[in-house]
Amino acid sequence: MPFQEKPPRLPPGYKVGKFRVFHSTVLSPPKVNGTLLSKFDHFLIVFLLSLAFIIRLYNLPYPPRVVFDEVHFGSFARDYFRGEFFVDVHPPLVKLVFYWIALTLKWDGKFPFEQIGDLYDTEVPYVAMRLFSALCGIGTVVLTFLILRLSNCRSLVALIGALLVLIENSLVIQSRAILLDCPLIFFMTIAIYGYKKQRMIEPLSTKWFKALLLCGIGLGLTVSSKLTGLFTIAWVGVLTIIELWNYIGDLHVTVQQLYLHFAARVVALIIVPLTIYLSVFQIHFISLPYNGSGSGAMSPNFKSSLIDSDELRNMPVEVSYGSTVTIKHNNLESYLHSHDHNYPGGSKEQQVSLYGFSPDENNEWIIETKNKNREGQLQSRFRPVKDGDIIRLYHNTTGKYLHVNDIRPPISEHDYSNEVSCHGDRELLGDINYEFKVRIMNKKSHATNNLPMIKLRATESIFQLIHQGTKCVMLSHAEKLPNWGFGQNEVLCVNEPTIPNTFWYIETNSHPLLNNDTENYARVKFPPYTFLEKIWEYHKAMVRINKSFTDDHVYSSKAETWPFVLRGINYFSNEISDKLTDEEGSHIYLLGNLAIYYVAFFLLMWGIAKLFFVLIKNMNPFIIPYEPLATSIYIQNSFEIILGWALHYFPSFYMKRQLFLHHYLPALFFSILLIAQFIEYQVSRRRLFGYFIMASVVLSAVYCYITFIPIIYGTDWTRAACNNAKWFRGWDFDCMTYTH
Amino acid sequence: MNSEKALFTSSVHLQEDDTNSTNKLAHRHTGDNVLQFRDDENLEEIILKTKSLNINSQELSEWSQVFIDYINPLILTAISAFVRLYRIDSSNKVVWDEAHFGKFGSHYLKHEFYFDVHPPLGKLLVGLSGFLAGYKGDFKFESGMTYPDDCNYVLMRCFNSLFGILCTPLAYKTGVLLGYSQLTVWFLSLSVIFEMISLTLSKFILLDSMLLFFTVLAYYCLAKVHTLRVTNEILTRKGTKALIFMGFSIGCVCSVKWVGLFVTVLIGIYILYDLLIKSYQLVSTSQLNYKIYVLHWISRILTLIVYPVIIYLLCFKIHFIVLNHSGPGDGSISTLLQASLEGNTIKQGPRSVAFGSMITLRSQGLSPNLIHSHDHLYPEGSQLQQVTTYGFKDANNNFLVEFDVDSGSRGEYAVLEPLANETGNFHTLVRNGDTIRLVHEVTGCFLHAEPIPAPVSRHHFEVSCFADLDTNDLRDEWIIEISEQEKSPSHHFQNEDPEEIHPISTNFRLRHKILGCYLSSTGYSYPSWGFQQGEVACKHAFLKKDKNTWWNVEDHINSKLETPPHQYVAPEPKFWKEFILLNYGMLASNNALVPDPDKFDKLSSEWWEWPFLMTGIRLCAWGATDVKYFLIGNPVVTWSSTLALLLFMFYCLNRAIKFQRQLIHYDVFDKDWNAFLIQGIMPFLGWFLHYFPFIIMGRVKYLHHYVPALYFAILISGFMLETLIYKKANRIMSWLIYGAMYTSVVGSFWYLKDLALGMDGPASTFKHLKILSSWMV
Repeated sequence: MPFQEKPPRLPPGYKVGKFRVFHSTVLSPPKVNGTLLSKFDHFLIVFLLSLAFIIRLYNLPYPPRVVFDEVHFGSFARDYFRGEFFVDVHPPLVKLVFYWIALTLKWDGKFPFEQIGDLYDTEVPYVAMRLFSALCGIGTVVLTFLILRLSNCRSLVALIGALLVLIENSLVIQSRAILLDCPLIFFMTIAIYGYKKQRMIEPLSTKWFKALLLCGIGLGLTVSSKLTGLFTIAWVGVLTIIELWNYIGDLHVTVQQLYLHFAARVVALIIVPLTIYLSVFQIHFISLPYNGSGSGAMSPNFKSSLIDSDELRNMPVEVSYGSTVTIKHNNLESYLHSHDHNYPGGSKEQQVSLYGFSPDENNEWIIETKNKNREGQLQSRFRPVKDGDIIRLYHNTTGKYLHVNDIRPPISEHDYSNEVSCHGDRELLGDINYEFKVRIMNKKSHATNNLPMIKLRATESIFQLIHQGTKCVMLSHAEKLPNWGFGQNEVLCVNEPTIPNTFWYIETNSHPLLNNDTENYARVKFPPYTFLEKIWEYHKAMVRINKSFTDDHVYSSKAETWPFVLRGINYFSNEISDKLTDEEGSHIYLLGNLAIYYVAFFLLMWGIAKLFFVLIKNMNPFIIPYEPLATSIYIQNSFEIILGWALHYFPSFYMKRQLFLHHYLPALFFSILLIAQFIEYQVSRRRLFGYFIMASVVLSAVYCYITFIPIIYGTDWTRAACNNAKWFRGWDFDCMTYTH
Repeated sequence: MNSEKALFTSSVHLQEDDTNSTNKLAHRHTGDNVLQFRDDENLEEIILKTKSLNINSQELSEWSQVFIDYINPLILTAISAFVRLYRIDSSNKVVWDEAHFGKFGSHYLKHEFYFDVHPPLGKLLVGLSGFLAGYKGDFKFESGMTYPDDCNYVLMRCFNSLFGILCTPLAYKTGVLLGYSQLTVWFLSLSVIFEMISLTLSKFILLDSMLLFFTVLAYYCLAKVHTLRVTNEILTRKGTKALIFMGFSIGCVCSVKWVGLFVTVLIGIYILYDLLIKSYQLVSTSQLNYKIYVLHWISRILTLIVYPVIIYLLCFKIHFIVLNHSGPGDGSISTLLQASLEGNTIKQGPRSVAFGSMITLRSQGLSPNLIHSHDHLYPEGSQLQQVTTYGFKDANNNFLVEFDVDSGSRGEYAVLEPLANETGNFHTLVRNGDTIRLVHEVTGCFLHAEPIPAPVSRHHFEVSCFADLDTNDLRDEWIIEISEQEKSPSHHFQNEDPEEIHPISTNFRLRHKILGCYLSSTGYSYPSWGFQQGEVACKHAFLKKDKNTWWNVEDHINSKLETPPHQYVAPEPKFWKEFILLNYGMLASNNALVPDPDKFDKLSSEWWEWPFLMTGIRLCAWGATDVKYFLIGNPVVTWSSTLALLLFMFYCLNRAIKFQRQLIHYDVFDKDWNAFLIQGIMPFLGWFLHYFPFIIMGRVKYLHHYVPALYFAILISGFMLETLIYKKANRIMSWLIYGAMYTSVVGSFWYLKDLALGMDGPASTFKHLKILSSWMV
């Protein structure tokens, strides 16, 4: 029996409970004292800061051209400048900051950010925008030092850990451009710092709650920069649950205190981040009052809340024969579209697809009766389209009719699905293969009465289009046409389909009789759209766009290659643009610091194995587990770090979208912490061996940094040195950029 | 001694409200463990001792013990048999998947080789039932067809139904073993009897009732093993017998359907838990010595790994032995296996392939299909004609061997009849290292590779079929590399030239002359534009042994060469190789059963619909004259089990927090803990393991996939009833509540019985059975 066999004296940290011993949650003084900052630490911080300023800010204005995704984030700043609505997969915080920086520096908002390599004009405050990213990077370095100190690392080891973050090639490169990742990592480190800090303070004190609050604010900022922040929230969440579990197990903590613990965390770690997140979106919506590139992806009700949507708000609600309409897919919020290109296979007739942007003339269709009409005949009188009517759809710009062939569609080649095309001309006589029955299935929530179920009403009725020749139902789905179809979604016609993808609605409606006659013909009415509705719809659009990033990108890489740096990303190479005559050849190419990546990965694997054994050992019900302080600190910290790494890394394996090496950076940050933690453990156990490891890691990391300085800062290099530096097959930086 | 022991255990469970005795019992159990190890012969003494601890217990009369052990299960089994056999013959048509499984049974009776996604045991048993029924295997088993007179389908259905019926006594015995009160045991048994999905399915020639039976058997064995573990009798003869039975049930359940792997995992987790505790005992206490510890490991490995694997292998061995004639599954098996079947369709021409020969090429990789091309283009990449691997024999698999581009530009052809300025050369044999081009006979294009990513395996090159005989493209050239020559057992064919290509027996690779990559099947399937056929790519294979790059000639036709005087005797297929190929094929076709999200399928359903019975399945045609069956669960059983699962999660959370707060205590050898483990935690885990995989599976899903999970959910219902009602409420209350549960289980069956027993007459007369609007009754 366990009680008979337990050692006569309890190991430190344990107390006797009713049935068994338990682990006390009272902070142990030696542990806390080890984390207090000394004067020496302050000196080291100043030293780190000055080093960081040199390494991270050196030659920042170079190149004076658009680098990599500055294309996107620059143009988002421009959208903010013009107030034109856009949808992006990332939450708006950092994009807003870039915009504000540009705004305070009196940018004129003209530079278009069209492609990588474009030369900035003098008006663009790109250096200041890059500076924000760089300062976040510098902040990360300092916070790394503080986090490591809070993890019971000695000052020297903390310095080394911060130094590794400082010179890690990919972090350096990433912090020198207008990108989201460095602000993201900076906010993440704030959260980590706050979390670590509250662990070292007497719980339920004011100071403790401030630290917890700092963690919550960090989380809020992180998740408002990129949704990757959700993984950071999950990290804090898991650790918090474990912490609470330990408090529950500590019989000296009263039930009342337990409730306080719980409540404090709900406020600081849930309510605060959520408030920050929502406010950022509110600012985003306020900053973008006009229609823009993203309005096509939103519902008409959303769009009606934009200032310049007069046309939409004054649109006749009743759809008549002869109306020019745009037909939108209810699920994907994209327009039924056709353009002057033919299918390469199948019927070889004109393509029909879904297109996400409006206004576009090719999205416009005219609703006609099933027989041939005189030009302008339908436009001269009002005749509503009712549920069950048979119609034809005339594509105005190409002069063809919507048509279904009994031929398999290009991508989804099933027996039961048919290709949808545009064919025929104005002179087309009655033909059952051009006819569609309108079946109204539902109404939108803003409809005030039941009329949309009887008559086709713009923005209100949700309907199916049933092809009369083959009785199939027209639908569209996430599947995309290849390059010949410009990556637009496939439209097809399926017999007995599943329902959700078959729903369409009319977004814009125009008829010469109805347009200006507001007396006789009702207008569309939109109720005010609430903030939460907006948020919800915006997030649906974000998810949709994220899913649609599926095509191959030259520099995309798979998650399993990241820890091994098998593939880099070409950020900038001045061969792309026309080189100015006096310009040196230069190249910026994202690569990880090989030494850091590999050492970190090795330690991660070793740490996982070790944790597994410790877990098995500690589950033993017949003993009371006990480890010396240094070991238990190492195990606790490496558990936290490995959990963070895993939570930020493994979800990438389940993402179907294209992925890039820089998506590994948050996970990489955790793995660098592990290197420091390991060194600390070794130093505390075998001093000499520990310092030896420390020296070799630092030296090899510095070597890897120095070797690749030219492609970090875009400075000059020789072709020979460049070719020598191609250590892996997948590193395809272009050595021909350099002149000698 | 045995009966005494049994008496003791059941009496313990009947008076658990007495906490004093429970505590004492807890001590006794832990005490037992130690004692047992010291001396096995003390068993009798211990039992005497423990019996004396139990003074308060009222002795059950011998009669009630007879009822519990024999009469009650017999009554329940009789009820089960009645509802399962009643009107079993009413539909004389092929219902639901009888179309598949009946047909597979017929294949066994006719010894015709076929392919299916499920392992053979269940279908072998169907074949056996047909054999017992005197059925010859001539019926086609097409869905909705009327059974002919020579097919005694009633007997076949009864045979299958037997497995369904036997679930009842097993469930009953499991309940008793788990230590439940008779009230709960009856609830479990009634739920199992009147659970309508399994009830309906056990009326037809299907695999589901066998699967359920073996799953239930496996859990019964686990409960048995658990009780023996608690009393530390695992290494006795009784314990070994229980382990062997458990191994048997694992082996059988996995040989019926792969779903059986889930219950295997459940048992594996339990066994690992047990062994882990034993390891701790070994390391940290003096309760175990090395010898016994190692013996534990050996006994588990032998009975729970080796033995089930042997059963699984044996099923396949029998499968291969019985199916010795050519049949519908021929297209997707290796050439050697085909050649070993009687009446195979291999066209064995001359023994050496020459330029101008018509051949079909079969991959030696994990999906041994024939290379194929058809008149459809790749939608992306080169947008040339598709090249695939295909599991059926048709003319699009035929390729002709042509000389290389060089000879072609000299006007030397082997495929066409020569024109005036050309040389026909029909007698050159193809040798190792020769450069060839392969012409697709039907569309006349050349097998071709481009240095662009293949459609699915993006890191390999694409293979297509390009151009025609008038073009000379160097990327049409392939070099032959012979990897292996297999020897025929016949002495006539011992001296074949190892440098030539011989149909059936030569394994070779085709290297692309320019790109240096090898023609290879990848094991992936194309999306719908490629009709789900296998992908072919050109692969940089660094390993010569990568069998995906190995090919052999299957059909060979060349009228210009002489056919050998003796019938060729093909080398014997190797069991292991065929076993692995077949299993991989099963896996691949299982994964290929992916539904099209755009197509409405009224039979399939989603995982989240099952615990709530949102959709049922019409098992047959719905005409007025048809006897109609509608597959749906018993709402009371299913819904209450779902509720119980939810309650159970809260119960666990509650227990965990109380434990952490030290308001209650569990110890590894505690009686409470061990009871909670086998009554609650393991069934919940069982439910989870049988349910969760379907959530992440992309495969098409049906309601009956929930049947094994539902059995475990019913066990949880029993646990919640026992814990919340029987142990908490007073006697009258619990009788009332149990009575209400019994009535509603039976009552809801009574109300809906026509759905399961067959509806005669027009569907409109059964409108009242449509409880939920989503049921398509």
